[in-house]
Amino acid sequence: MKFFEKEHSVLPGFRPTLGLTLFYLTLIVLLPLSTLVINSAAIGFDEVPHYPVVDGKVTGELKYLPIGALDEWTIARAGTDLSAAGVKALVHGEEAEVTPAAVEYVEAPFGVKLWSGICRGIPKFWNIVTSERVLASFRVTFGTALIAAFANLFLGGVIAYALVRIRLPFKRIIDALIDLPFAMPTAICGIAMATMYAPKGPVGAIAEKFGVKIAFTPLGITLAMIFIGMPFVVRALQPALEDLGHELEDAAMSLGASRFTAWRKVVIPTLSPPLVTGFTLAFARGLGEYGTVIFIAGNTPLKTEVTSLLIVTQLEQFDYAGATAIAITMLVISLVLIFGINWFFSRRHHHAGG
Amino acid sequence: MSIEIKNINKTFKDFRALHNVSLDIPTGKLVAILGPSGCGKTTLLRIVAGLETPDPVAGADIVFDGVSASGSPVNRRRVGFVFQHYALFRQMTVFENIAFGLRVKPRSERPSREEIRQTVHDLLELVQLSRLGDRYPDQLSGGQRQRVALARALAIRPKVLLLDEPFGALDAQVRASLRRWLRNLHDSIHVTSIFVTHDQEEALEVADEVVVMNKGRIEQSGEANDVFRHPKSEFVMNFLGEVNIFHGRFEDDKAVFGQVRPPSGEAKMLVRPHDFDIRRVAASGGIPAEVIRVLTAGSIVKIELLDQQKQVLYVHQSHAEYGRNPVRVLDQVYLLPKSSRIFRNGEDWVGDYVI
Repeated sequence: MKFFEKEHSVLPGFRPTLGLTLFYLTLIVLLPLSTLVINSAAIGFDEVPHYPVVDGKVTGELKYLPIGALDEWTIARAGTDLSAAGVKALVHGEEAEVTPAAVEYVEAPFGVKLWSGICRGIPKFWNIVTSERVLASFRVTFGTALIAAFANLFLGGVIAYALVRIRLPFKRIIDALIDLPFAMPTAICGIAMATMYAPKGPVGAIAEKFGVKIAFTPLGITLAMIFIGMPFVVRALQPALEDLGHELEDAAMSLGASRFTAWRKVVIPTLSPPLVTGFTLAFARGLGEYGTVIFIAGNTPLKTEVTSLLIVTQLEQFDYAGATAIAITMLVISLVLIFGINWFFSRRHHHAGG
Repeated sequence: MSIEIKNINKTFKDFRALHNVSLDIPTGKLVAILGPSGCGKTTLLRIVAGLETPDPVAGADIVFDGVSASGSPVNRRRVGFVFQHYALFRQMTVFENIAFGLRVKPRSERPSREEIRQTVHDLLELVQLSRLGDRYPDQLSGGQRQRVALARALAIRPKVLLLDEPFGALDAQVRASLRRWLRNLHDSIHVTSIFVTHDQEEALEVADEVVVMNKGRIEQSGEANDVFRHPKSEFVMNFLGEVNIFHGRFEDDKAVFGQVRPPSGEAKMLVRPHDFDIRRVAASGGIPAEVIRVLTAGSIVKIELLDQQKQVLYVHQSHAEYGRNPVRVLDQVYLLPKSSRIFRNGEDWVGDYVI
């Protein structure tokens, strides 16, 4: 009967949850991301090395033929013996038996192809991601997302404070409105914002009078990113602030601190884990935002073109390798930044976590 | 530093937490405010600290040493406040927690780095945590955390020390040793202290004076021994220690506690468990009862009995007293109250009674 007895685990459900986590990570996260790498790796393989054949003899030098045009030539497989009477070769893409004299090229061996692909790919990749237009898009995207995330830290903090501590009229409605940027299709937000802040829009016209252009400038992009990033900060902070209560503030003030000092030295440091979470999420959301931003950004290359839009532009031109190269660079920079932020704060406040 | 609490009222929305509370606390005393939860004791303490403002009633005032403190906010009152859940700053070390009150002083009053280090060092010694200065609050036990909180409150040299259920979150053994320690500490530093608790044993053991509160009012205040021996009301007697309650009625200016239980007795007789004599034979005024349980394990003998109204009564005896006349379960005995109090509608009543 021992067979039917179930061993009691210290961690009930450990195996199914571990399995589900790994399944989710691979199928939904890692596999799609790996296709990104594979796609961008194709960058060096747009031209394939071949040995030209002159008078029925293979020459030593390599010639690179564009991968899309290989059926224009008669190409023998790598290692084909050209001294035989008849050889197999690809003639306009179809396999046929030809005389050695008719062979124009011999394929390079697999190793040579791979090596040349890598050697030619890396500088190409580098050239794409360091081109003026891409670098400008990185500057615009990371710059506006960073400013927006800081603005959200402040604005979201104030809103969370108001929702938790202050008796507001229509609090429930305001509370529900916070989530609106999550719920609405981003394109709708984008159109709404563009209408509002365009030079002829109600707010844009007023700003224009003061000489401030909002739409079609980095300021407009920042505004759009603030709009979509705000809920992250509010929702991260709200429960923590509710849990915190008044006691720490009371304690600090009874020790002689002013309310401002109590917040600066005690409350805000205690709230730093949710603040960092909210900041990171808002920042990450801003980096990847497409729908809201494109309507208000104006999308002028070098000035107001965000990276996500640039990637779509490349895709529309069927430059998949270029698009994925930019995407991968973006992914790596974002990961490094987010890990960096989390590592920095978890190191500084590892005691605050409890 | 003496504290005068004058005519304090506090209303939260439609709930009246404090009714005309006035209290004088002489310099250097340790006073316990005792009462059930919701009686307003914590609110009163927070008002003294300046963490709450009293209702603006004529004559309402908090006076420290003859000077009204009503106008000054909590951070100007120099009160040391100790919270039930410690309220330690968890991203700071023990040292930084204690130094906080000194470091936030305005630049002109702030002690030098070396003075702060010395003060914190002395305080750590005082609360017997010298070697834990660079620990974080999360790394300490509950009792240690509360001592850090106390040291932090003492660092600003408070005029008065206010403790809000300081041992409420600790287990029984730590509580007992901490309250003895607090008593000794107070004897050595003599800062006027108010200490809020719902534990009568704690209040009677630690405090010089006890203030019993109920439903936002002060029921009785005075020296611990006086209040315990001479409770003014049924509530106070009931709250300060165990009692046996007998219900009865008044007939011809006499309180009658009959064999038949009255539907709603307006007379109540309260007898403490240690104020009974156990007799084998019927005596006038003796209450017939049957022993249902005898507990001899402990410093006193606890006997449970059932009277004729099927009410459980508790009697405490010393082992010596029990040894002279040991009772067994199912013994039929008579309980003679050596001392008792009768209350009429909660108020003290003096006169004859018949059982």
